[in-house]
Amino acid sequence: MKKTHLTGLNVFGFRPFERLELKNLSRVNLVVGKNSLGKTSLLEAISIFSAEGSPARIRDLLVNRGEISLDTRSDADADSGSAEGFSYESLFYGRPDLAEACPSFSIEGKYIEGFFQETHTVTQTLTVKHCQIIDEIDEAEGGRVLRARRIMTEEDAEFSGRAYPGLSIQYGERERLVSFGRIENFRRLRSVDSDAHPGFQFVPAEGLGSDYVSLLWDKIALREEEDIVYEALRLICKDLERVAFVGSPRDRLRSYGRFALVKIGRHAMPVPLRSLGEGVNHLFGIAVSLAAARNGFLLIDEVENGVHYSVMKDLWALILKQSQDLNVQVFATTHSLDCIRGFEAAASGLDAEDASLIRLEGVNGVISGVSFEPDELNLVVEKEIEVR
Amino acid sequence: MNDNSNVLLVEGNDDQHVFWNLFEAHSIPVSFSVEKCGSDSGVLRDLGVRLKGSTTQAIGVILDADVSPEGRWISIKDVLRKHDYPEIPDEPQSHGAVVLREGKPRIGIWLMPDNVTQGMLEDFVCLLIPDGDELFNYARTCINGMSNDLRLFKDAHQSKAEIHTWLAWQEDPGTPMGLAIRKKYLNPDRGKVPDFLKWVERVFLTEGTNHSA
Repeated sequence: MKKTHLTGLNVFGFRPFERLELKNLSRVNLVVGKNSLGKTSLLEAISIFSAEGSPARIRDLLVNRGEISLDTRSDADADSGSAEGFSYESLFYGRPDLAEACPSFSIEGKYIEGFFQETHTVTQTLTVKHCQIIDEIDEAEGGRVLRARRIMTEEDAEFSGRAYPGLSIQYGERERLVSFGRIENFRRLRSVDSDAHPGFQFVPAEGLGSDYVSLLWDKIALREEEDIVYEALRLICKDLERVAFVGSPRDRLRSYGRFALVKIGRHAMPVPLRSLGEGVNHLFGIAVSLAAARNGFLLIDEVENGVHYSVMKDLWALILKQSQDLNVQVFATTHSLDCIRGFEAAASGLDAEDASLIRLEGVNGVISGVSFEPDELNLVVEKEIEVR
Repeated sequence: MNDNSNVLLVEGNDDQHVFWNLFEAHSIPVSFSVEKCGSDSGVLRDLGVRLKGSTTQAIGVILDADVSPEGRWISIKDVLRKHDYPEIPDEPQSHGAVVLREGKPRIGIWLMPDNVTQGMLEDFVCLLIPDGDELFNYARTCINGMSNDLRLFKDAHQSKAEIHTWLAWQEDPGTPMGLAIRKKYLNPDRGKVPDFLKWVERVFLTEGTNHSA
């Protein structure tokens, strides 16, 4: 059976949320709300939840927000075995001092399971807790063997070895302990670049890097999903014929990275996609991510960036249709009235199950969502009612 | 000038023009807009969406009590309850209701004609006709003397027939109700108008707002 979509989401203690409660989620959700209420953090919460608390995902979102640096050249402690100069307190509500406290956050996703009258709501919970982790090591002849890894408790007051900061990650019944004894361990967690996570695709506000998009492209090239990307690009560039990636990955010597070339009807020679402007590139990132998100989540931060308002309606129509065909649940944030108008026009006639606009609101970290279904959005646009 | 944060929701075109002209006759500052919603259900739908607007400060709702004031009251109450207004009076208030809720828009409710009797906008407007107006008495006599074959309208629309018959026989025949206020065929100081304007003032013109945004 296909995995059903989230119908509700509760977040406790994560980032700016002391408590976030969202109900009545749709397949495609456009999220609005004032700055600093946590629109981007909501997308991050869904991505961590979808990745079942993967430490690599947690690492990536810290890196992407510039909250930790994984640049080996600037990190003198790289091989000293110390985790100093690196912290992840920003993951937790109120940024507590991790030397003093053991904060945790949890994310509860709600699904409907079953058919027709036989349905019931299922809650899946991810809990991530900061703790001190002890590695019990046996010195054996010819080497050291990790015997056990456990959370330090009060009974360890006499423990002579060293405890390192780390995370206890519990998803459902399963618990994992991740020790950050060596920052190198954190750095080496399998990178998203080499392992695009199947559970979700995240398009940040500044767009996706070309190398990353090329990896997603490899997943969909020559498949039916490829057509979604062409359909999207032709919203802006009508006579675009084909896309190909050229170049070698950026980590190779003297490499400029992989980048997209496009063949356009009126030109004999291919041109770099990035030469067509920011809007086309953002759209390309969104379309490739959508195409690669089958049976998962598509998370788009500031979906309107660089996209002309005249294209918004068609872009939403594409997302609304393809998300259904590919069984993708979409969460996108925006500040733009044109984006809301385009969404309304494309969602007109659809049900609350298919599409809704959600405004985050609240104070002091206690946030809830106010939802508008397509029928109500119609009135919002017609009467110019402010919903942002 | 209006930013859509203060709005008076009314059913139709006639309502809109009657209130515009009443406010003008009384120099009521236009700090709110008068929005027509097409029908009674249109008003309730609009109310439900505006209650979720991010800048909404005050909403006035005017509905005809053409079935019964109590029935109307219940349907408005249902919408408000859905949006976390727990303390709503059990029945319509004779001077017009104002419902307050911390952090939420201020809500005013007026049921035509006077919150108590069954009726509609036209009943409210009939009361603006000067006392002992001979033409109005004559119009009524004609209507009441009609044979059943000619009387095509339903009983609930009696006041509608009366006011429009009367308006049809003015110096400028067929003047709409709103314009009839401006042309002074109707007296904007009579009937339920004083109570109505006080209600408008309580909804929109009271100092300070209880909206947190």
